[in-house]
Amino acid sequence: MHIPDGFLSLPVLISTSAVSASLLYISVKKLDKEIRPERIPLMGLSAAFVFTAQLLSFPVFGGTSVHLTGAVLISILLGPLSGFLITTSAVLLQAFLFQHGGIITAGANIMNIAVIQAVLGYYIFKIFSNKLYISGAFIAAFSAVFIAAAICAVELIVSGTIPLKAGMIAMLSSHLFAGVGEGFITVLILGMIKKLKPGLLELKKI
Amino acid sequence: MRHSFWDHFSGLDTPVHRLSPGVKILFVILLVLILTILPGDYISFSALPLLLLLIIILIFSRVPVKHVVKRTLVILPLIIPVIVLNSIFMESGLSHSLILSVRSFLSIFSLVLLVSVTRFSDIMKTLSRWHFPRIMIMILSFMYRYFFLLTGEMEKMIRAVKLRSGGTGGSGIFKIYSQILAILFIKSYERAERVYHAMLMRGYDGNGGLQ
Repeated sequence: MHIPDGFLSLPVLISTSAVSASLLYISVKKLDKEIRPERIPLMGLSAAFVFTAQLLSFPVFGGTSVHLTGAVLISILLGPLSGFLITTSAVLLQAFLFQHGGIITAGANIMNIAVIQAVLGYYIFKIFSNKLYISGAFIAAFSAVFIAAAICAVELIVSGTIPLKAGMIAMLSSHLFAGVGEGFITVLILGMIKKLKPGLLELKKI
Repeated sequence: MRHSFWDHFSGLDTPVHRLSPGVKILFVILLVLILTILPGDYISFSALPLLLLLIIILIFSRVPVKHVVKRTLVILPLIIPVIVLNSIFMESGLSHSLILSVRSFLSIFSLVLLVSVTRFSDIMKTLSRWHFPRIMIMILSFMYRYFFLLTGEMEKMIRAVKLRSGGTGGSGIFKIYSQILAILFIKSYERAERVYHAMLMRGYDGNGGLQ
């Protein structure tokens, strides 16, 4: 999902960066106004948590592994705009320090991971959360990963990097699996937090 | 806890390290932008001079070649599927993927070089001077500082589970790993509270610690 530099064409880069930059502007403005000072360390530590959690490979049958993206999870816990800023930071740090992703493609990667997964995923969760908390979280995490993979494929196809049909099929089939994994892990984590420290599910959602 | 694997060589003292971080960041952004915009035909003959330029910088920076090569090769798992897809399904797929590989390889190379010759705190200070949102700088700095601690905590919990389960995996491991992450989040939350109190004690006024 992390697109490296050189894989996207200029029009795709400009349009995705415009989307990401405008949401970044809105989030920063809103959080600057509404945030209480103790929230900043919480967001910083949550971002470090997301970053750490992404390193853990979950072994699944067949010798393969999945890992958590954590975008939907952190949005459910802290709110969509906090989730957006946290996942944006994770994308940027990964590009700088691990070379997962790139600097010119950062706008596109932020759109796929922070805009689609953290923000859109949160609102998918909101549709269900009143009645079906757990299944809502599963559906949100699964569909967020799946939609993000589809959009990522579109970006690569429009840039002429991968072929249309085969590229789409490859991206979607591989992320079907990742999406189910993301859904299960998200639900298990939320269930465990509910059992150990239920107050953490009631943090202010910004 | 090993935490040297990312900007391990950024503390060296060479002419390249002493350059202003802003110049280095702009240089890399410009280079990657050129690599992105340049049409395929031009890439083939500008690749070699650019590579040469980066190698000269690398030599002057005295960062071990092995380190940079190893870090640059993380791109391979991303490039190989694209090459395979293109060679099977696209006409002129091979030359097309070759150009793609050159583009991304040189971009990654320059990025690895940048983080090897610039301290993370200097990158943050420069971004802050360029009016990058303060809250983002705060989050990034927190991540950089606490990531190692959280990784250490996670590794400890995993080791404990492995010792007690006798090293056997099975389907239960999926649930156990999720529980470890849940505990890790709770620990992060509690640590955030302690960190905030420590910051208050030291005169934090809600405006960040960056000058």
